[in-house]
Amino acid sequence: MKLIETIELSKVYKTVSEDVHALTKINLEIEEGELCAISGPSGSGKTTLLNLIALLDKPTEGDVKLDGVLYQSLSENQRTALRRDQIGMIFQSFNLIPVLSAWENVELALNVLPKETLEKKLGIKTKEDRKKICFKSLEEVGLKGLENRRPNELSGGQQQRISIARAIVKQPKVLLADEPTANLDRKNGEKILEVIGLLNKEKGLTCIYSSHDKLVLDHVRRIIRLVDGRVTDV
Amino acid sequence: MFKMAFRSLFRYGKRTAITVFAISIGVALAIFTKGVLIGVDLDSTRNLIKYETGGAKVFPKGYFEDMKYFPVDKFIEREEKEEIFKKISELDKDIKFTGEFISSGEVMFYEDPFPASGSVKAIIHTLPYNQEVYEINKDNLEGSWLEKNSDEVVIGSKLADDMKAKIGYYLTIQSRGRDGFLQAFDVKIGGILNTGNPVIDASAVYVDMDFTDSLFELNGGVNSIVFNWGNDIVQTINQTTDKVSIIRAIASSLGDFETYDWEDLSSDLIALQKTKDASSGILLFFLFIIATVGITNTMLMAVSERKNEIAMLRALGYKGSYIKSLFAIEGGLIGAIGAICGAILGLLIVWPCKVYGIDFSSLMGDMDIGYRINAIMYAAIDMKSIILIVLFAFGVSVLSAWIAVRHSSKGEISEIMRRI
Repeated sequence: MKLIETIELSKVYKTVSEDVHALTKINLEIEEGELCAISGPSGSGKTTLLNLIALLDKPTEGDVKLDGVLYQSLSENQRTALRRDQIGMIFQSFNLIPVLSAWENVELALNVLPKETLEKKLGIKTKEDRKKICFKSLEEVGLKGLENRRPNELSGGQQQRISIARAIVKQPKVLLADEPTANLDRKNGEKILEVIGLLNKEKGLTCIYSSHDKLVLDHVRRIIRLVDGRVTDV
Repeated sequence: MFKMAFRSLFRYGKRTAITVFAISIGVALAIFTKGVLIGVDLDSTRNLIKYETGGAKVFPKGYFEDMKYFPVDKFIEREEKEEIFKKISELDKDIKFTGEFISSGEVMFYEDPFPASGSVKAIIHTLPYNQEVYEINKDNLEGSWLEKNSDEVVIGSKLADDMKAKIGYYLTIQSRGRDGFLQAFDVKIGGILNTGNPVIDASAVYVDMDFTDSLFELNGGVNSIVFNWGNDIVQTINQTTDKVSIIRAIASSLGDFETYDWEDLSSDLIALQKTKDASSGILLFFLFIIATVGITNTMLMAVSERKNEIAMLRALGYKGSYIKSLFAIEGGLIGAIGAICGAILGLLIVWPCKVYGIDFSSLMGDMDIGYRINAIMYAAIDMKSIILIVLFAFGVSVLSAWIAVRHSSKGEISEIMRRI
């Protein structure tokens, strides 16, 4: 079943001297439960494509459809709500809040959800439920016993795993990972990919990477190659 | 949100400490400056009402316009004066009153016992010995007050200093009586009055009204009636409108008299206070501008360090208003801690200045700055202005954080990430 579709998707960055065509008429389809990577050299537009799918940016032309919903038809609040409820995001630099513990960082993703979503989708009714589900999420990424540690007390790989737990705790439809192994050594990178692979395999979570790391590309089932903002190979 | 904001204070401990320190110093300085200015105003007003104007005065028509020349040709006659006294007593027992005759004059003194002969200009205050309007007591009077029909006078302390006069010394006073004739008479110094009001201390000579009645041909008449009320200066000020309306109604019903309250009678001081208020307002304004720029700059730096957090929160679905509130709370907490520390520090500085005063005598010497205070300035602890300063510092901190984060959280999330 088709989960994500990009339709004639283009993005142009305007600078003082010239217009930079980051993406040009991208047409893609990603099935539910897929594990794929957007790859390409630096400046090829892979992060831009991921940002557009993640609703972190607006296209210059074209559109993205997630589970039948066209982004361009949404208001700003609806875009925020869709991103909040359906999209999990992992960043290259983890982006954790240093003053919060591991589980509190995970909880950040729940704090913003409406009560109805918390109760119906995640079965969270009390503060205790909320804490339990955060702990469970951290356990899924292999951080059992480290829930109360602060980010600076953990390794880079462990920090990235917190960010995965934060992304999956709300049970999104799709997990988008922007260069998730870029700041990690090989061993930690492999662990991260293993965790995401398991989530894809066991839970059927659709996962899309943006990376040119061979480790990542070896790990996925499909690679979407970009060169100069155009798809060259799917 | 509060938990996160609170913990962030300790995350950037040094920055928080520096900002708190800067706010504290600003608030403490503002409280000190305001405290001294209010103290000076209050002291000056107190000395003015207690020794110069009372709460209000009634004059014969036309006297007020020429008051600074001490006219002696306009009178409230004995019968008129007594009728006013009677009516006021009947209507309001809280109002104290006395008649007075004020004229300009010259005090002449002679070598032996004075160190040298000479003369100085003075203002001759002719008052009943038993008046209760002006506050004369053992705290401000050396020697004794006027006695009935006595030739003993009381002079201001600065005037006494200038002449090197002591109690018991004789002086010759030359002044004008009714309608302007010159009169000279010898008196003995019975008391030296130290009021803290430089105008009185430097120029006043008090003589008993019974003693001068025939000398000045007053025939019981006076050129003004002075009124006062209330147990302290605050009561006097607060009740001015009510009491003056009673006095004015009675006075105007009994003849061609004009009533002026203490504010009307101290227009020079009020003008000075307004000028001072404006200049201190400008000073405080610049102080706050510096504080605002400082706090905003610190908050901008703090926010720009944390753009990735802002982007991440927005990516998670947090709205801009939530993120702005988060930083505003953090700014508010810094502002609140700084303002409270500053208020405590300010009070610790102002308190001794209120109790012991600040001695500016070496700086000011004999300089007349227009205020009715001597060289020791007493500060005031004004809770209203302290609360306003604290709230202002808090508000500026919140606003600065808000402005800083507003800029940083604008635009698409990917754009914020690119700016990191």
